[in-house]
Amino acid sequence: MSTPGLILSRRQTFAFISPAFAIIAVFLVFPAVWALYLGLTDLELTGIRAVMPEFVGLSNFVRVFQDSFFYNALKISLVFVFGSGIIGQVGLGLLLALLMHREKSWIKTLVAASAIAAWIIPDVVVAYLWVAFLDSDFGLLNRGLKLVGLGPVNWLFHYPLFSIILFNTWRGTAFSMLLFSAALQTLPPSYLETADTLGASAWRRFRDIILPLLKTTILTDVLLITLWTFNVFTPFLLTGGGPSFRSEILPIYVYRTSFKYFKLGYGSAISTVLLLINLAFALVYLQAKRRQKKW
Amino acid sequence: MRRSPIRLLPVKTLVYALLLVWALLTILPLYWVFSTAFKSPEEARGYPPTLIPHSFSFRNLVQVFDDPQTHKSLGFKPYLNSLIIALGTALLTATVSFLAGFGFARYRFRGREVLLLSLLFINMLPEMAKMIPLFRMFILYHLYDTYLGLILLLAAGSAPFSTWLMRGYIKSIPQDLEDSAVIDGCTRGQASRRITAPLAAPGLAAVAVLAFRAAWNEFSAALILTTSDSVRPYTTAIFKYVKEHASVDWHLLSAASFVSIIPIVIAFAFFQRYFVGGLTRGAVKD
Repeated sequence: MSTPGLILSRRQTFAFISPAFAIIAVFLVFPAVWALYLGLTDLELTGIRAVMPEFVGLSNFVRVFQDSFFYNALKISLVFVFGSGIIGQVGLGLLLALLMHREKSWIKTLVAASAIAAWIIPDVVVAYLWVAFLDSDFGLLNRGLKLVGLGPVNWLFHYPLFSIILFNTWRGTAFSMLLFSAALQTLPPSYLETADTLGASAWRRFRDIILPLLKTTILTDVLLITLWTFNVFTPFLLTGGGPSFRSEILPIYVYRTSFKYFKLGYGSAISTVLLLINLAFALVYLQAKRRQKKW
Repeated sequence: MRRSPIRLLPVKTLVYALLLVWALLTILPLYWVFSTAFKSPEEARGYPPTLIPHSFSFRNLVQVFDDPQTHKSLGFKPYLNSLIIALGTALLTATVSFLAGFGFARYRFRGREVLLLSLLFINMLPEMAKMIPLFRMFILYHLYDTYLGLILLLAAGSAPFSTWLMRGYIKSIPQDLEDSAVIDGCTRGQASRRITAPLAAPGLAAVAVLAFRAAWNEFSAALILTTSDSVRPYTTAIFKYVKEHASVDWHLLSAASFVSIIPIVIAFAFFQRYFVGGLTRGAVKD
């Protein structure tokens, strides 16, 4: 590996990275720090506490850990992230990329194009699209079920969590699939050809050749997807978190607390806890990556 | 050497079947809405629903832009707003992340990896939580309800991942060319612009398309930080439209959705080759 060494001076480097850091500092870090601070206050959107919020220390956090709504949302978020993020997007994305890898035909184009189509479409459109798709009268899914003598099922009402997991898997699998496909292309074909010649099974090929080479990509993907899925708000447009909080993932709970009950301080505190959970995942990832001694 | 076709055939069929089922499942909801975009209002509401529009027409699409009778239209303006915001974001993101990526790729300093990773994690506070401070900030600095405010915010949101991607991409470009340009009298800045930037074009395209997509699709920030029709992007315009016309006109909503994906489909179709190449070298070969 080549070592670039000191190509740019310290001042030059600063000049190169400062535009990005300036907008990141102003529009990401500053509001984030402000939000962290708000978590330590009793700020509300209306009334006396909107004008004169008081510093309440960690009492919001004490409340969070006694809050049954928080535990409900945490549990649903974990199921959601595991179901739609890890099994759905990463798992399915990897499977699709593997299945497609050595095919050179229309099916590859078709799968890639359809997955990308699902991924590039705006959240709002996708949400309405799924509301329409799952609708008990109008929806195509129930129409299909009727053909085989089932249903109709009011999906969003009876299976809200399953619906948003399905939705989010559908929505995001393309990203992982593209990333894995790109990584697989860097894999020397001779490796797999040798394995073929030796008569290795698909599982052995996967375990002994593909997996070791994809490890870094898989780790990176798992991290990105986990963090994105934890913070995704779009399911709100499908179920609004209901019925009776059965699809209320953490970001929706933050929204409900802040913008429906107007408890901005408490909402910020919940966000901080969410951030800490994300950070914990990031640290696990760093550990795993460090163990690979890639850097 | 190939394995015997007898063993190979069922596996291949199974693989094809699996892929085909997946592709169908992916396309079906899309097809459902976008075929509705071409149906008449009666047919869209009717039961049983039709798979193929009987009364195929572009009337709904026209109605999305202009409808003098019912005034139930979105108009061109929201789409124009979205286009300005998304193009501005893509351009700004590509510029700043190229520069920062260059800095990270060509200069080693202690804590670089940590800085780079903290960049990636910085965006992880839930968007909703940041909206409260952002709202106050935008009012204070007259960025509320402006293109510039949204562009800056969205570019900042895309910058961390883009910088990381660009850094990976630029690292894969040998720096000898820049070195010789510098020996011939270029500054490092000129060399980065004239030598490295053209070579990094696929990476830049990937970054720009990602930022374009993020901006084109942005919803919650646009909902909270814009208020007038002259700035509001089409995502929140559709949301407002649905809220104001309580009875959901599926045919119009479908038509509006159909129109909204055209720019993003063009962007992806045009840049797809670069996009995958850019991802490969930027994210995978890091």
